[in-house]
Amino acid sequence: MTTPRILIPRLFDEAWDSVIIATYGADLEFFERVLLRQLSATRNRVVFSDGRQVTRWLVESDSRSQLRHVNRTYVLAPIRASGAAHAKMIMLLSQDRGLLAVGSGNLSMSGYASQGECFSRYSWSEDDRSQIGEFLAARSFIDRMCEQKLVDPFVTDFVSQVWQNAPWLYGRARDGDSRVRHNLERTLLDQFVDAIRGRTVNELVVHAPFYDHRCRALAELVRRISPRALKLLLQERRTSVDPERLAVVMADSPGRVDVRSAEAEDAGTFLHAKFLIARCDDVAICLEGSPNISSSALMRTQADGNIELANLLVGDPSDFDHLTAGLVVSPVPVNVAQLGLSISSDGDDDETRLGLAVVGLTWVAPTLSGLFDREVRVAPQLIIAGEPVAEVEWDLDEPSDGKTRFVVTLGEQPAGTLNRVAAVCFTFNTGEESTPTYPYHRNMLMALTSGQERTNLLRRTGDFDLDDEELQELLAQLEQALVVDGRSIWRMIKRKVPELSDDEGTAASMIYDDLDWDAIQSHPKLAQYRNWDQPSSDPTPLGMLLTSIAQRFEAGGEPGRIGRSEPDSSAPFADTLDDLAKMIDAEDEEAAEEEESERSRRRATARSRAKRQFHTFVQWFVNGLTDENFVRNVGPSVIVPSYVIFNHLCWKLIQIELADPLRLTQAQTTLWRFFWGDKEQSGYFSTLSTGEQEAALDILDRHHSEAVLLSSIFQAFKHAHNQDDERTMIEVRDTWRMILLHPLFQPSPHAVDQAVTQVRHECESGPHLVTKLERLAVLVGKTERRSTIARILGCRTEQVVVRRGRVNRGSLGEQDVDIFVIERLCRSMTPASASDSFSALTALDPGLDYIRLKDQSHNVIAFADYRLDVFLYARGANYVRDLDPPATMSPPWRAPLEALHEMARAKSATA
Amino acid sequence: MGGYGLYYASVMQSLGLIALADRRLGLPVDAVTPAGRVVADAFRSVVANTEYYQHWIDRHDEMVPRDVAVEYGQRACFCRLREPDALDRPLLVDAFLHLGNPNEAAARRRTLRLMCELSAQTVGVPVDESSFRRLVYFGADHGNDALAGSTFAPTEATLRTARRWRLYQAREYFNAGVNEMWRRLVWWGLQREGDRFPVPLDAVLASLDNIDFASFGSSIGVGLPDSGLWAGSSFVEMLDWVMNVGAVSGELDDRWDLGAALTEDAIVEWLGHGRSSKRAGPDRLAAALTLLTFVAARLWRAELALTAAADWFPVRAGGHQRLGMQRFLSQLRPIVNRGATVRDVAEWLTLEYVISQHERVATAKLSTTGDTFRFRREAGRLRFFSKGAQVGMNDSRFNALATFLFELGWSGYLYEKEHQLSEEGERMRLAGDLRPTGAFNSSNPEDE
Repeated sequence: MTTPRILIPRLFDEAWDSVIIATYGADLEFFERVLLRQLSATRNRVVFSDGRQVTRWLVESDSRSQLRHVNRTYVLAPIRASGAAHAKMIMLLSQDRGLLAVGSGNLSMSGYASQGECFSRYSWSEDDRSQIGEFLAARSFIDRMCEQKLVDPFVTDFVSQVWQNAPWLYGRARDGDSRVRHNLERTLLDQFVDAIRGRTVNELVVHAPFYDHRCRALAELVRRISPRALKLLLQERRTSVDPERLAVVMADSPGRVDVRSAEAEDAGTFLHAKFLIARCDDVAICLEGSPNISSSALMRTQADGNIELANLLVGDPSDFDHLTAGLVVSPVPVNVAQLGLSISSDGDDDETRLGLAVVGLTWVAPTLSGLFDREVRVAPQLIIAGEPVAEVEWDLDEPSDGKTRFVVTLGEQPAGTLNRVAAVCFTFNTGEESTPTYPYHRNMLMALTSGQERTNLLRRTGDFDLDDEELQELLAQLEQALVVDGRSIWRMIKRKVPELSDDEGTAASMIYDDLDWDAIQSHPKLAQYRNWDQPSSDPTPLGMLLTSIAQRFEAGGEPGRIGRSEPDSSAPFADTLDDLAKMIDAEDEEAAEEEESERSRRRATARSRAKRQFHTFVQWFVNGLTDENFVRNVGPSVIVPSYVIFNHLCWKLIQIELADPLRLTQAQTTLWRFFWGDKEQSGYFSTLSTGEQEAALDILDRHHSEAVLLSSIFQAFKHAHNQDDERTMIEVRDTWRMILLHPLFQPSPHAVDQAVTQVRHECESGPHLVTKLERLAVLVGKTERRSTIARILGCRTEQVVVRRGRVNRGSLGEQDVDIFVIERLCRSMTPASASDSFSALTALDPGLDYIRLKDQSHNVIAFADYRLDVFLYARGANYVRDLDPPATMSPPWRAPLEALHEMARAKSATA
Repeated sequence: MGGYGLYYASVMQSLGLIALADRRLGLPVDAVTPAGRVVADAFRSVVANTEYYQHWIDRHDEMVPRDVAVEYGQRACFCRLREPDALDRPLLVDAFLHLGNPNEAAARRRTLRLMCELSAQTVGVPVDESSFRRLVYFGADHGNDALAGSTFAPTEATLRTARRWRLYQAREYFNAGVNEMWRRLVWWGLQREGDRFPVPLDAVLASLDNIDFASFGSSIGVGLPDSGLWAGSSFVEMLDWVMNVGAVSGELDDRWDLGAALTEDAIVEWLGHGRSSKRAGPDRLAAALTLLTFVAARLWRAELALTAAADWFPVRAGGHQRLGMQRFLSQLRPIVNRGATVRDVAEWLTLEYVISQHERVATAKLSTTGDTFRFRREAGRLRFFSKGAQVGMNDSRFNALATFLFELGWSGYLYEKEHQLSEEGERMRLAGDLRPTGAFNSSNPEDE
């Protein structure tokens, strides 16, 4: 039995570059299994968590065994402070926007999806920069913890990388500018009292799940604010407070005291939100966030108390009513003694020793390095994933300042274990054991943060060997890496994309003219188009993409072999669960089918979403290529590689059914017409200078564009034919004929072979492929003959109909043939127009051996029997005359097609 | 047709009759392989003359007349497969016995031979799922007033297969024990309003102190050790008690005594598995723990994993990372050696095998199935959710195997008294294989 899905905060749904989470306790299994799915596109992920909580969690071997990504694809930063690191925050950053949530929920299922929590949200974008103060305060909070060395140096380096990826997040944080407050220097109680500014507080509303043992914080709060009324919200059996001490504080309160029980609408929910609301005559001040009503949270700074983070909000007296409106509050006051309250611990006063720590434990295969927080002179026993490791080589530094730096070199097997994420601990000769620690996979994390991991998807573009979930990520990367149209330019230079409304062409032209193209050409994103082929250990995204396309063919066209990283046993979510719930829920047929259909539905949804997005992306390409200004301004260095990429992309999208084939075929014909030309105009290729053409041919050749072109045309023809879409077939045919005629279309035998490899399930050889392509070239549409006749005779196509009729073909006997009957023709068909029609029809379809025309209105018949060489025109019974044999000419594309045939046959014979 | 993707497709793929869709291989939909086409052609020849096949199969928008559907149903029904003249049966038999991965095909042949043997030894007595479990696990079934209980003694040729099936059934008992602890905890929490007032985890663990062997023993009719059995007892005492009352020899291939004072079978019956129950008393906890101890006692000797290494996979299934029996045994032995009490073991199982595992699985299911949490740890308490909890013995695969034997015409229906082997079934029992048809070019059994 299931209930509707728990909604994990929508916050994570968008794509972000970085996420920083601050939490007291961290349920890393929840993070890895649930949130990481949503954060798959996020490069930098850091979780700051209280060091004791992390230790406590990690000493449970059961917790450890389930982790697959910690410090490998995200950074776990235990905060080693004297008090509890209790702050709760989610910070999501991208280059041009940010989202910040500060509140009460820890990183866990209940912390992020429960009714009992409360967060305040802030956002920043280029359109609305008003909340920059809150972001700066949050950044300052993180930086201060780093500066105070409460976290490993590696974390500090990593975080600085995060800030670099959000260049808008800079400036000095000032309390007055921010509603986000911490207690690193000033107590939160002081800040709260300051915000009240000596006003008379009519009512102080207090809610928190935990009070300190002696209720000192509440007593101090009441003493300093002296509210006329004190309203305490307590959750039956849940609020951790000493009822006797509470009673004393209440008795000492100068004003009226009103105690109410409160619970969430979803009974059983732990009300974990913490807030104070001071209501004055004209204003209300609210402190809401991580601090409980405890002295270590409210009355102390980080120096001798907790680390806390809160929102200090000022508004109208009713502005914070929503905090209580969502609760079920008892209608009448309750007796504290009857609420079943007692002191319990949420861990704020967790006295767990941090244990023997290893600081900065870092893994760069095959060495593990770090710093023991004590003097160590004898190499300890290394334990990885619970197993002692013998295959090691120790290098212990001389202890200094009571600490000892070390480097351990591991053998192949333990290195393999560590590569897959495993907890490490050390047993010393004193018998003590360090707390389990996950080493930072430095290279892996740095690759992630520098974007190299993401660009790996570009390495797989050649094959499109991607899971459904990766497709959208690839799309984002393509969009990020490529310049496809004018919008890309505007985005690249961080300008708002112009909206073209009335006269788009003019507006675009004016805007393009406004740009400093010399400066734009030097932008790395455009510069990569000019140097993508230069050898480099750090290839550009475009270089990776083009290499991937090239390699697609160099390995014999086998899919799934190229660009794929080594199998990774710790790949996200690769493990299937053979588990208790599978047994428990017993998966009766109905439930199992439901689950299966739900999974299928989700897969289908993700796929159709990716499909839509790819369609849009292709449309951008089309827009770019049909935008003369864009094409002119970016020049052939962008256009030619774009042609290669677009050509390949369309082909693969159709092949893997990630696009509607007909829509894509239309985009392809637009591309091909643009590049190779059509009846109206010569294509882009012809407009290039000789030198540019040679360079372009080199690029096409290196990326096997001719093979892609041949297999794409074959593919387009097949889809249009299967869907009986004559219009598309004719468009593809005309384009193919134009390409055949283009002097720079010079497919090599190897290109034909490669094309055959791509369509080998349908074509067994080069000649077979060319034969099929010939069928396209000679294709005649159902209406084309009629429209040809109509054009010559000066009537509408509808007036020409095809009827079957029996005719006598002399020595060939009687035969059923198609007769073109022209109805309601104004002017009679003449011998000349009949002869022209014959010529035009044979040019259209050289295979015709008999054509018969009948002008019904004027009783005229004309036929051309090419096999018997008889050409006749007859008007009524009295006028009959032989016609001169109509001019026949071989279509111009016939010769290059024949050459292609010949080449394929020769190659095949050689093979 | 929902069953295709869920049930049939993977089996058909494993037999090489279809290739599953894979766009990267240019397969947008599942495709029939040449071997599959052979089977499909045979089936088509069975239905080719029906009115439905000839005139209705493509008319998707029209209502099919009843008599047309009936005729087609009569021809296409699985139940016709066992008829001697069924054209597709020899091919299907051949496919099941020989196609796909050779190791898997060999394993299928061995199991089908075992089933033929079991069918032959139990003629005259109906066999159902639970009696099958007993026959495989204990080598015997209960009798009743009318019929003596049947027995099953593996032949030399089927001994190792029988051992594997015995270990498989042991895993089912193990799962039943854990599931019962989970079920009981859910109802225990709900009965304490744990959905409204989450129960402190300390209180959950404290409740284990009340584990009640006395009530359980008295209810099921088995005596406890003289010193009694309670939360504070040494777990070794409990293990000894189980070995004693269950007459557990510790050997893998012995006849395990169904007539012993207490058995896994008796505990499962007492728990009423397969029926919904909200009972959450401490006697149920005692029963679940006893069931788990039984499984541990049967497989306690660590060397069994070595001496029967090739047959040990049902125990290893799940590995160390999941809730496999091997993990349970490997963890339990040192715990017991450290002098753990019954309470210690109950707490360990409750925390790791019940609470953590349920949270883990429910979390993993969030993104697909939705919220299946029955309880969850929140701020040091266990919060319960009122969604019910029902458990039962997992499928012993008996139904599938019995149906298979029947539909392929190798034996009568095992659920019925008379289920003699057919001539072909007898050949399968004796030889463990049948001659391939040659239609798939598979190897001859004699060649192996």
